[in-house]
Amino acid sequence: MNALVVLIVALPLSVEVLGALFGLRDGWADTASKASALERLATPLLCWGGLWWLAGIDMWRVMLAALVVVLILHVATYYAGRVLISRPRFQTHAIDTDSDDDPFQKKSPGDNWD
Amino acid sequence: MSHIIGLSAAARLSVAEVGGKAATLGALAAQHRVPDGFVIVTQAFREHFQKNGVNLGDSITGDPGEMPDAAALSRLRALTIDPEVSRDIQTAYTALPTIDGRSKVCVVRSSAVGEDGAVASFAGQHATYYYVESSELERRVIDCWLSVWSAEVRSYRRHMGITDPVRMAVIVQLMVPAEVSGVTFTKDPTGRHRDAMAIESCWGLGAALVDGRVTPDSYIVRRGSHEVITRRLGSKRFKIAEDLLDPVGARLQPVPRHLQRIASLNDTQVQQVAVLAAACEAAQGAPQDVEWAYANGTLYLLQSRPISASARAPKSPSGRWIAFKPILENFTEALTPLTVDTMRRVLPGFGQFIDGRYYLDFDGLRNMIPLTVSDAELAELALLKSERSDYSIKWTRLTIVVGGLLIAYLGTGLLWVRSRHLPFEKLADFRGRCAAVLADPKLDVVASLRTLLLGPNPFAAASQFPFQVNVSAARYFLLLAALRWYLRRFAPTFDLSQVAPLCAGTHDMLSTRLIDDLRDAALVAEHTPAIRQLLQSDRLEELPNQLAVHPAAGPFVAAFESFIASYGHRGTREIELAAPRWQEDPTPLFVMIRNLLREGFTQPPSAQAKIRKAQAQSSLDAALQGRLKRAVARRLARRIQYYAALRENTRHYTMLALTTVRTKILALEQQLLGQGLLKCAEDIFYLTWDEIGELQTAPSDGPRLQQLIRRRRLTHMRRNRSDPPLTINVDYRPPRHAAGVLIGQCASPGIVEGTVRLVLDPATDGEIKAGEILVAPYTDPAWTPLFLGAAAVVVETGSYLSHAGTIARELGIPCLVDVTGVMSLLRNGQRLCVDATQGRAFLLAEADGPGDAAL
Repeated sequence: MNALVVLIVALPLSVEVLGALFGLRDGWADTASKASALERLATPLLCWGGLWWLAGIDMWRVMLAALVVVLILHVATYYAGRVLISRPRFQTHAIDTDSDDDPFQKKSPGDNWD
Repeated sequence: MSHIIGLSAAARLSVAEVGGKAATLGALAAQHRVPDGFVIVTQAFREHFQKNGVNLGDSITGDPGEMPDAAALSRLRALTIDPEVSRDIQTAYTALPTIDGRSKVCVVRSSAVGEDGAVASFAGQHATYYYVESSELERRVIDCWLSVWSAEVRSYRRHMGITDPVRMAVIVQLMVPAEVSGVTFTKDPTGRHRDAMAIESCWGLGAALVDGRVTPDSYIVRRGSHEVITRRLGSKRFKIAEDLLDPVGARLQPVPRHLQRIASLNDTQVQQVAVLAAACEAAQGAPQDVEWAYANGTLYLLQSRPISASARAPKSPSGRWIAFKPILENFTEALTPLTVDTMRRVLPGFGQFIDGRYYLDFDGLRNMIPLTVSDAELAELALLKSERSDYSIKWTRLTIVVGGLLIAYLGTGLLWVRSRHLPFEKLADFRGRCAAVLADPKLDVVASLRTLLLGPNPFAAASQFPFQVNVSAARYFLLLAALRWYLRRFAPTFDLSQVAPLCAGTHDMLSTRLIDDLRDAALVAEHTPAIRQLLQSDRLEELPNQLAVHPAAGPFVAAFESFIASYGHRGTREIELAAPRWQEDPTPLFVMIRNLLREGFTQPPSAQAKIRKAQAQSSLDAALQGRLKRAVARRLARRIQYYAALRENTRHYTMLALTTVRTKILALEQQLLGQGLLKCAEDIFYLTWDEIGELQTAPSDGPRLQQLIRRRRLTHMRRNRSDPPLTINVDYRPPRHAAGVLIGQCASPGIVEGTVRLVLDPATDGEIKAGEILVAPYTDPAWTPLFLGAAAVVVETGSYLSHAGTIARELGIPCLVDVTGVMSLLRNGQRLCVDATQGRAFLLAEADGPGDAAL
């Protein structure tokens, strides 16, 4: 099977596998949660293994690359988000349509008690 | 008494002698009840300053006169009034009668020549002094005179190109011990209502309006008939005391909680005020700005002057914008400047805060939506109003969008996958993170919020990302659409209104558990007569102190503290950092507990929902053929249930992050108050972080920033009085209501009749009787206990996804959301039939109120 096709299929599968593994960690402290997280790991792991079996054993580099790419993207997205939000250029802007109003203008009842 | 004349005699003199305000007031005093007073004519002003070497100019020769500098003003301030004038003032003061036998306390106000013209108005710039007693009368007259050369007035004269020499008379008038005061504009200054007057009122003296600390009640009244078109009650948390017996006492006083959200004027009084304003306008021959007050049931006219200029429409921002509905449906008020400045620094620039509200870029949205839609249709979609599904798809754009989503999925998918089965109890771990951030002095407020919302590191447990999980949980809307499509396709006989009960009944939802826990506390109170007695008090704000010393309070205090430990970080308007939380002010909870005890809501609330859910499941089983098809539908319903609960629960912890940063802001505020850099509590929320930095590094900027705070308070108050525009520069109009029929969206199906109960804020108005229909501007979890007794819920904003819909579905009560203008259109006590299934509500009562007429 073409390596590119394998990679394209393996990428979302890797998200599922790694997500299920992280889910196992999220539920680790509680026995029932851990058990159900382990159960949920079975399906993506089976699919991932099935794809590897279909692709052939020599595709291990591609399969591994898919996992690594997903992990790198996950980390990169997190830090990119942090860095971007710290830059004023990428932050949300706030505008005030009254900011340069004539300060002496009577705007509404109650503005003019004197 | 050549320098002093009685107020009623002022009409006989020229404006050059007594100023426009006194001349007008004198004329009106002949026809209306105006507080007694006298006028110190302009001649006294002229003689006083000319004698002390000030060139006052001459209008005939065109000499504008001098503008004394700060040193000269300081010298002039130290002068005393000519003995003859002083004697005249004291004589006139002594001759004033008393009002209702109270001590004579006066207001000293300017009446400058040209002060209230149709072109220029010096409103708010010349001085006014309240609570002036005889001993300080002369000092205040001099201060009033000197205000013609204040920096503000000089700036205004320069700005308006006014070069006339200054002349000022001074009005000394008895202060009215006003229970209610207000302002009437005989022409709606916002320009939204043609042929209408605008009335605003508050408790106590009307000067509270100017400070922006009181959001007044506002009424729009039709000219001629004086019929009330809309009324909007404000949160009148403070008042300027009407008690004149203690003129040096604290002016700004808290309003008792039970008065904060009730109308300060009854219908008759609104009519009387409108009649008075109309008479003033007729007498003056131009639209007027009329100030008035009620004292001991008597209406007093305080002032009437021409409206100098209709308020300009605010500048429209460039670009096209649409309100971000998920925020709007939880909080329709404008955010304070500090909240905006904090939020904008932690949110990526997908949208923009405009006047305190968050908007999305409409054209950016258009580029992302792979559908062929008009502007109006796109607006309907973005505002979650559309139920259509027959839009034609732009396939090229769809491919691009799907590709983009797949790439995003690779970067964010791990959290997406993890949130599919998150153990809810693990979310509580976030409390530890918040405590750590709170204790870390190196993290400022913005950095604290950033780290709490973004998580500590990419490999942290999912419980550390409540905000992101909350966003991802919104996918249940897609699942809901999928379930509806599936049922239409495979179970055409199934009533789709049954989808809501089918997907309800989540036991792990913290918002519904909140009701159970509050009910538990109420049950403890029910079994302790002494606590029941204490809860009946009108001063529930004193209850914590009473409970602390009461010997029988132990079990109730324990139950209540347990509730606060879980939910204390919540409260009304919780997106707003300036809003107090229950742990700071638990009074709203006491009101809700009292309500539970009074109305006997001691049965589990979800029993009815369970019955409806069972019925819906039976209908589904009957309508769907085949076990597989039934299993698919049930699976989808369970997933929707899970994500609805996940959304509410992660929101619970996202609010904990906001409460954590609020705690940090309050600590900073205490520091600034202690250093004297801020004057009042809550002022900090009207500054931005840059301005707070300036305040700390350059305290000399304090006075300028104080002015800024005052102006922003007023602007904030004004914005909260009006409904937020849903779109900006987009041609879209929301659907209009037909006569007697309110149009909205169904968030929880059902038909019920009941009595309208308008609630603006459960923090001040949290009591509802069994069977009443709760009508609210928006809802958040702090409203949840009110749902318990409501027969149905009608909300001005919201969508199927909103809190109101989620909780109503859990409780099995009808809920109609997104009913534009409902708070202004309905009135307490009207009978309403809510047919939420059809997205309609019908007025049943005879058309006896303004709400009916407006509908």
